Amino acid sequence: MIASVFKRIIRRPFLSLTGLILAGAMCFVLCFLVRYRSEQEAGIREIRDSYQILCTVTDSRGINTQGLRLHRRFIEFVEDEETGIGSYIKDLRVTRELYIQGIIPGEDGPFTEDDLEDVVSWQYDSFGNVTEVIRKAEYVSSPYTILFGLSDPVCSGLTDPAEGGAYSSSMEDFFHCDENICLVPEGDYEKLRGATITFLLSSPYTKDDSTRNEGRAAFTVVGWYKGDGRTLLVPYTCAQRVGYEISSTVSVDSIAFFLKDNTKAEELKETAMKVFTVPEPSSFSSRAGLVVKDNVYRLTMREMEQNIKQIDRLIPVSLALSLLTGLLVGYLAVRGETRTYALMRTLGVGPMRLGVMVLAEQLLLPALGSLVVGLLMKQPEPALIYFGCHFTGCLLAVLRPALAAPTKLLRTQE
Amino acid sequence: MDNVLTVENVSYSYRNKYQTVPAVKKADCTFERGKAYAIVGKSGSGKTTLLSLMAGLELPGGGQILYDGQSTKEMNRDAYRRDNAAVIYQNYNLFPLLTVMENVCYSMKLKGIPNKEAKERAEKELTAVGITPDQFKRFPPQLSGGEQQRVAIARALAAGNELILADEPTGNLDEGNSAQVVDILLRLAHEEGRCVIIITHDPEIAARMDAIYTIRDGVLEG
Repeated sequence: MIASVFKRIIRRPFLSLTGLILAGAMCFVLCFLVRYRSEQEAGIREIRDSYQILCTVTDSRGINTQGLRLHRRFIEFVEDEETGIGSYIKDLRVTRELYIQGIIPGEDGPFTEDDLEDVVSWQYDSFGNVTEVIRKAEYVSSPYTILFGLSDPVCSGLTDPAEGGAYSSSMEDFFHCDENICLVPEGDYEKLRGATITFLLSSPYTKDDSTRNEGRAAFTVVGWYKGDGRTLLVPYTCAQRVGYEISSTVSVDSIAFFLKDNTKAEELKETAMKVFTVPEPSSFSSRAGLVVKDNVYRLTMREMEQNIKQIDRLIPVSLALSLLTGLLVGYLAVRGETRTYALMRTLGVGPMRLGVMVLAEQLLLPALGSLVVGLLMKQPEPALIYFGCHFTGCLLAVLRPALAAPTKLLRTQE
Repeated sequence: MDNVLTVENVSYSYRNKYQTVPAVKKADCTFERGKAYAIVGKSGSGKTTLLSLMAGLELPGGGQILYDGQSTKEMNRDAYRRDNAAVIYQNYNLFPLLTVMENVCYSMKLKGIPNKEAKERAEKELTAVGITPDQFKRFPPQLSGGEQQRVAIARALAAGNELILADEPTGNLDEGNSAQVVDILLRLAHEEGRCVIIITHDPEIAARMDAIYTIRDGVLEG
């Protein structure tokens, strides 16, 4: 009987090809939709896991991100995992600046007593006579003005390779080292390599018990950074410690971090607003602002989620069309074949056998089409689901003539 | 008496939503092996319905039809048509997508007869009904009406069923072809011992049969 099924398929090429092409096309549509959906889902997962949402603390206008002079409570809030936002963040990047007033010469350093300049002053006696007094200055005028403590190379364009910066350090993990070490501009490095230089530093903050906020600290030159600026780079913890020694203050000049879990951006914003504010260009508030740069992330995610929603609407339509295709192919196949079916029944073919033969005839090529499309698109499950729908549609079309009494078929024929 | 088919007080009505139309009211008759019978009657008298009942295509509403003593109500009627009763129609009813040879082999394959044997038997029966070998591979629409009817008879012959039910087998044939077909059917009965029942309204054909039944308004008279 299989042979006769094959013969009938081959001898009705137009109908067979129509079934094959329709099934292949509809199966392709379903497989394509399912594949596109899974690609979008994979994309969403990948973006959710790998996209880094940068959060930056700014002034209340959202303009400055450096030199913010933030009180310690801000950094404490950022780091606090219980009442702050510490549990939401990773890769915290902070900086602190100190001013360099001058260099204190040392015996074996690059700057010696000989480098001290004379300071001229005038002394007046009670008779109004003026005497010129010349004495040596306390410190050497420094070519550097800022001591910049940073917790990560990306905190500054000078060291961030993404912004064209570069650095080199003989100390491994320079930015997380707690020793008094520094990087000097590339041009000065040969001259200062390994030297320990004592700086006279000042903090922008005032001690509680003193008007003077100056102090000394010695730093060893361990590397260089690209450029010949007036800045010395030191590890953040080191800058914070030195700053505390000279002014009893803990403060930060910039804070940036990434979200640990991108899905919790809204939770982070809600918690962060206890301390930070949403930056407004017209604001005069003294509160610090927090910019969560999740626009691109949100837009991308929304677009992909909308794509998935649209596909979710299209898939049932595609399944319904698959069912209809099966119905159509089945209908086209059995239409005009009543006489053949009646004849088969009169020759002793049972209704079940007739149904199986007719179904086999209608489904062999669509099954082949679905298989090929499913394998080519690496989507065996949707292809199987498509075939299930096609099969159901075909079955509905074939049931009637298969189950009808042969005499009824003969009467229909006549 | 070698009865092969017995029709006992059979009645049958067509029903639809609106009405019930009695087609066969009362039929009693017996059919023996080795004989040819004619059932004659006007159009609409119930001839074809009676043939459908005898072929097991329908079940009688009343009474019973016995094949070798077994009621068609109790038997597997698909197997009965496959193994015992062959039906030949006025409009030939060959499979248009199968060749002459494949048409004849079809019912033998249903019975599970091996390909080679089926082909040999088909060749023999086709030759016996006057189909030439060059026509074996043709499709039914490429044959004349008489040739198609002879192929249909060859199919019934090859299947080896002992009960041949022919519904106006010569209805679409010219005089020459009609005579040939009737000759074949008579030969089947007389030489091969089969029981041939022909439904016809042609008195000349009926006259050539061994016995004639007349059906009038659903009532069969011997």
